[in-house]
Amino acid sequence: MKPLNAHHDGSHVSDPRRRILLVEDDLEMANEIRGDLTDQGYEVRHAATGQEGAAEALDGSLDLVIVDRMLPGLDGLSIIEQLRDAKRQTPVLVLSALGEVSERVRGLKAGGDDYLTKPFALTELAARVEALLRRPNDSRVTVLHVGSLSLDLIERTAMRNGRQIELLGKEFKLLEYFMRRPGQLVTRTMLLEHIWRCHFTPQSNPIDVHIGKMRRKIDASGEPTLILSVRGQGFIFSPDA
Amino acid sequence: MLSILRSSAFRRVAAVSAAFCLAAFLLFAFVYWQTAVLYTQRVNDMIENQAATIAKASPEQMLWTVDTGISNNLHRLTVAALFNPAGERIAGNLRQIPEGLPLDGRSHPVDAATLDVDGPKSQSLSLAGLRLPDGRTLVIGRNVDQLDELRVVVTRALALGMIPALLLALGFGILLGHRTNQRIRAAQIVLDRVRKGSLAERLPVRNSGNDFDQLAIGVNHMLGEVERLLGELQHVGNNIAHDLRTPLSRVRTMLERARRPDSTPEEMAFAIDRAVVGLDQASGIITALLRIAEIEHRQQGASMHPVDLASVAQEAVELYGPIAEAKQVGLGLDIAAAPAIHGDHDLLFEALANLLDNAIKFTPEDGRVELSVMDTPSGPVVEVADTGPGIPPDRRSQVFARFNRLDKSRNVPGAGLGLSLVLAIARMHGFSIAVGDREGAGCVVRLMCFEANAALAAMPV
Repeated sequence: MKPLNAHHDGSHVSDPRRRILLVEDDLEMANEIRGDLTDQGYEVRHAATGQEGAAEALDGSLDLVIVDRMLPGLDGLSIIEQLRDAKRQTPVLVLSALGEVSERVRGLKAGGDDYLTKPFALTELAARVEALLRRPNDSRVTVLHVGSLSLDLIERTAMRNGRQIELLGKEFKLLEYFMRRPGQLVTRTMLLEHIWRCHFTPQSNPIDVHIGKMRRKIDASGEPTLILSVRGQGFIFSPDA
Repeated sequence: MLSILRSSAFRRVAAVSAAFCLAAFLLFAFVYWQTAVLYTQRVNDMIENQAATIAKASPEQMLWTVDTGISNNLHRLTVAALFNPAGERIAGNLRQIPEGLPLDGRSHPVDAATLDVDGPKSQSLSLAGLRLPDGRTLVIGRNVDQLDELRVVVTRALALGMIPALLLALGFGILLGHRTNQRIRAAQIVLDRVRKGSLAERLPVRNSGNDFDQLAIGVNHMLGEVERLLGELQHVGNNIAHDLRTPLSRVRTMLERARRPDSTPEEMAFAIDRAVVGLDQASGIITALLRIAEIEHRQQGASMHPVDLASVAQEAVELYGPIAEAKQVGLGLDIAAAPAIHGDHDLLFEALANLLDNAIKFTPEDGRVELSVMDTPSGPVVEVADTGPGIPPDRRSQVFARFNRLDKSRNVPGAGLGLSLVLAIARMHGFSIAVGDREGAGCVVRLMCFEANAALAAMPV
């Protein structure tokens, strides 16, 4: 069994510079997004129309495409369909002002890999981009090892420093999600969507409480905490060893 | 006048009258026909009997009978004649043997002239001719003009009966048509006023229980609902504007203050962070409203699948367990039955999550929230009971209205849209919701997962 890379550097930048195509007709919005992603170390190209975007997307050498759902000329979903028809597996993130669940489903069915509803936080976008660029670690392994923590996917148990940790159903899924994305920013919405299949934002904030509970289980006294909070953004699973 | 003739009442009366006339006509025709047949039969029988009887008499008797029988109208014979073998008249009131009359002793209808005082004129006769053994020919018969008279009588009776009946029906139809038109015109005037905006107008109802009244009652119900919905819409519109303006004006003030020349970078960062929170709040309200609208307009059935209610309840309790724990509120799950229903899993989950969210939010420390799934005779029911302050009975129907928070302060988190969302989800499924008192203290919200009378939706327990 191949141990996972436990020594992830956790930075957002990877070499060579990742290339992102942003297809967005709202120029002010596009500038902000481009500025933010450039700050994160990505190389961002911008297309303002559907036709332009489709041409660029098919050009290849891209690591990620971000398309707005509604564009003048050619609609965002058509771009994805053209891309998929051309057998390009480039991950696509759909941005949309249409928040309806049915729209999300359409976006994902058309071949999009993730869907983000406007307005969104730039950090949410950055987290989604990072998640798409770093596909989760090898899913064939049966035991995940990150730092001092190991998670047995078959026995559904966790161990840290020789200590067995009891996990309930959702806690197990939560921990697995984090351990497959060490060093990555994970937002609350991502957790709600992936762990609870919850496509709405509950009024109270159940995620933070769940994380708090999880920390109490996996961090014994004296051990550094594995799930770090990033204020106003989300959480990062940070390996301790 | 033309509009009366076109009115449905008049047309109905006209149709009924026409049917009545046709029936009466058929009846009279039948009576006439039957009478004529019977009469002819009797006359023919009589003539044939007489012919046979006379033929058996002696020649003198026969002559006497032919001569006197007619003048005495004996046996109601009007025609009697005796002819010699050469066909010449011996006695009686026929000049000659009518052409084409078979001499077989049977009655036949014949048109012929008789030798009467007032000159020869052709008549409808029923005659029987008989050749006697001595070569003479006997013809007797009878005038059947009475059949024509019968026809005249029947026709006259028909006309005398029918024409007044028809006129009566016509008049009645016009009257009814006029009354219908009046009611319709009154209704049109009212509906016109409604169309121009006075929604409080209602159609007149006479409490006679007729179809018109029922229609009017139905329309009035609809108008009531339209008025209520429009009122709610206006109310919601005002509330949206207010609820959006509150965070936006806060954001504006924060940002304005942050750009004072002497602000420190820390102060600015803090103000910006708070401004972002305010904007998130505003867009959260918009998102919630759009979501309610989406659910309300979603076609039922598109996303409906068999759903295990118990497992949805379990997931909701799992999501909210830690929150309740952190607030020191007990959260219990009681699954008395595991009913499968047809619904949208994600929306039902959202509904239960909202109910739990609300219950936990309003339950004080050391209180308890209980989510129960049960099967009742009418169908599956999910109940969320809490030990919070409860909802006064007179406010219960309001809690589901958009932006209705019992405390009017805008400082409690939440936009007051949670329960509207739950109601929208319930309605989309055809389910209903009731709010009641928990035994002891607190509140029970009951989601009845079965098609009930739509009017019961959002009714207090």
